[in-house]
Amino acid sequence: MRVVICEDNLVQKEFIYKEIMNYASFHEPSIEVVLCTSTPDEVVTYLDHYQADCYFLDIELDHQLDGMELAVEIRRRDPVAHIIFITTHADRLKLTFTYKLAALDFIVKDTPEQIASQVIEVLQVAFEKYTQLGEANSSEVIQIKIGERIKNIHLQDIYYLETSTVPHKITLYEKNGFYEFYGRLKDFEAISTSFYRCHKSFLINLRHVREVDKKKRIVMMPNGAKCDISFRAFRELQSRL
Amino acid sequence: MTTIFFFFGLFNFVIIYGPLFYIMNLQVTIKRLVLCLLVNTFVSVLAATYPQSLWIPMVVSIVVSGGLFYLFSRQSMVFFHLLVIYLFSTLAEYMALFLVEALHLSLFIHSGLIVLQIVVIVAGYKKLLTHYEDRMSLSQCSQMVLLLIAISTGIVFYVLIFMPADIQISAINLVILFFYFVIMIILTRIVLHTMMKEQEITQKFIEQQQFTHYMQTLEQVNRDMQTFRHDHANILLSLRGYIESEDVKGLRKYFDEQIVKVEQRTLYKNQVFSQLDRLQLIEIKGLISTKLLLANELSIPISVEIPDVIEDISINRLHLSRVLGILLDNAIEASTSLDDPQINLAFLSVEHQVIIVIENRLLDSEVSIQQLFTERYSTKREDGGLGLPSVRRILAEYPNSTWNSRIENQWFIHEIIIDGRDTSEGGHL
Repeated sequence: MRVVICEDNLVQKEFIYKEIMNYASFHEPSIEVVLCTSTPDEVVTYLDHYQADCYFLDIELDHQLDGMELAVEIRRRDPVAHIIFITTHADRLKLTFTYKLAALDFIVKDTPEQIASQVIEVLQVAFEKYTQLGEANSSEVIQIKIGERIKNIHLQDIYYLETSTVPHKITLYEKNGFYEFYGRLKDFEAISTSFYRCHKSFLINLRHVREVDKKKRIVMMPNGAKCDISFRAFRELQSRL
Repeated sequence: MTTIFFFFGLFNFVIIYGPLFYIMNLQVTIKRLVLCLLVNTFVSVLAATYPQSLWIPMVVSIVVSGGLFYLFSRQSMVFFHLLVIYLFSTLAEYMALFLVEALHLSLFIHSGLIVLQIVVIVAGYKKLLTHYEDRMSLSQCSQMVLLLIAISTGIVFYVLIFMPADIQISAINLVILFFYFVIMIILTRIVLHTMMKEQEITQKFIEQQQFTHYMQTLEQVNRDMQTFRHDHANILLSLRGYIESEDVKGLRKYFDEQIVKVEQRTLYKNQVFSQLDRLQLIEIKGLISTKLLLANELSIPISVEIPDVIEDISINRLHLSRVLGILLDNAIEASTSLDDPQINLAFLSVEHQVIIVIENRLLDSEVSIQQLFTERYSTKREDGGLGLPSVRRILAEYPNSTWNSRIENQWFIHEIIIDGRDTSEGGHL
C-alpha cells in the first residue's frame, strides 16, 4: 500500500512519517511512504505520473491549495483513494469530510502520544480496506451515494424494498435503518436468489421472513413490518420458503 | 318505477361518493365501493319507507356516509366536505329542475345539467381546498365553526325546498337559495381568511422569537471573545513569568491545564456560530439557534457544520422547520440520559443537492428502527410518539427529497437529501 503525506508543519510531518514507517517495518512491510511533502503542488505533480492508495492530508495547509481542495483533486483522479485528514481541534468538520470529500478518517492534532495511536488506528483501517479492495465482490452490495459518500449495503442485511407513493421512489429497509432512492423494483429482482417479488410494491428477502399470515396474506419481517403478498404470488412464495 | 328508482339511487351514489373520493384523494378499491353501495342501498330503502319525512334518510345518509369516509381517511373534515357536496348537489338539482321546467326540456338533459354543474363546482372546490391546505392547518375549533356554517345552511335548504307539501320550483326560491349560498361562501372565506392571518401572526411571532435567540447567541459569542481576549493577556503574562524563572515543568503544567482548555471551549463556540452565518434561511437559522441554546443549557455539545453558503432549500420553510425541529428535539431528548452525549448537525451543498445530516449518540441499539416510526411507539412516555411519522408524512409530499435513517456504531443518523433542481415550492403535484 502506497502512502502519501502532505503536512506543512515540519515537526508533525516528520512525526507522522516516523510513526508510519515504524508501524510498517514491524507489522506490514507492504506499506511504504512514496511521498512525504509539505506542499500540495508536489502531490499534484506526483499524481500526474503515479498513483497512491492512502493519503494523509493536513486540512489547514498554508498554501494556495488547501487540504480540502487537494482532496477534491485526488478524489477526482482516484475515486477509491483512502483519504485521511489531519486537523486541529477547532474545526473538526467530521460530517463535511465524510459527505463532501468521502474522507474515511481523520486525525485530530493533540498530544504526540494521541496522534501516534490515531495514526496507527487509521492506518490499520486503511490497510484492511486496501486488502479488501482486491477481493471485493461488488455483487454482494447495493451502493447508495449520499453526496460524495458511498454507502455499501450488504444484501444479506436487507429485509425488503418497497415502492413509495411518489412514483419511482423506493424505500429499502435493512437491519439498522432505511434508505430512500429513485429506481424500479424490477431492477433489483434478479440481484439475489433470495429476493422475491411477492407483491407489486414489495420485494422481500426470503431469508428474513419471520412468519407468513395465510389469512391476511402478509409476511412479517424481523423489524415488525408487514408486507403484502399478492394473490398470484402466494402459492409460489409458500413453495420457496 | 323500480328501474327509475334504481337509476336515481345509482345516480345519487355517483354524485355524492365520486366527488368525495376525488376531494379526499382516496384510492378507489372494490371493498370501498361495495361499502359505499351498501350504505347507499340502506339510505334508498329508508327514503322509500319514509317518503313523507325525507329528513330522516338525509340525516342518516350524512352521518353514515360521513362515518364511512372517516374510516377510510381518518380526517374529521370529511363531514364538512360531505355536507358541502350535499348542498352543491341540492343547489345543482334545483337549478337543473328549474331550467327543465321553464324551458320544457327532457329528463336526460336534467341529469346532464346536474352532472355538468357538479363537475364544475367540485373541481373549483378542490382547487380552493388545495390552495388553503398549502397555507394553513385547521384547528379543531375552526373545523367546528365551518361545520356549523354548513349544518345551518343545510337546515335552511331543507326548510326551503323539502318542507313545503308540494315542491314548487320558482325563480324566487332559486334566487333566495342561490344568494343564501353565496353569502355563506363569502362568510366561510372571511372566517378562513381571518384564521389564516392569525396563523401568520403566530408564525411571525415564533420567527421573531427564534431570531431573538439567534441574536442572544451572537451576543454570547461576543462576550466569550472579550473574556478570551482578556484571558489572553493574562496568559501571556503568566507565560512570561514561567519563562523568566526558567520553570519548564511549571510551564508545561500551566500550558496543559489552562491554555488548552480555555482555547478549546471558546473557539468551539465561536466555530459553531460562525458556521450558522452561512445559512441564509432566517427561520432555520433561528430554529437552530433556539435548539443550540437549549442544548447548551443541558450541556449537550452540538457541532454545526455549514461549509458552504446555503441560500435556499427547495422545501417550504414551515415544513422544513417542522422536520428539523422534530429531529433536533429527538436528538436532544435522547442525549439527556447519556454520560458522553454528542450531536452533529451539517448542512452541505453537493452539486445541486443540499444534504442535511443530523446524528446523535445512542446508548444502546436495542430500539428497533422500525419501531421508532410507528405512531404508537415512543421512548418518551408523556406525549407519546417521536414525531417521526410526521417527518415522513411531510417529506413524502416532496418528490425532490429523500430521507435515510439508520443506527450505525451507536450513532442514530438521519440524512435528508433535497434536490434543488426541482423548484416547485409546494408539496402538491
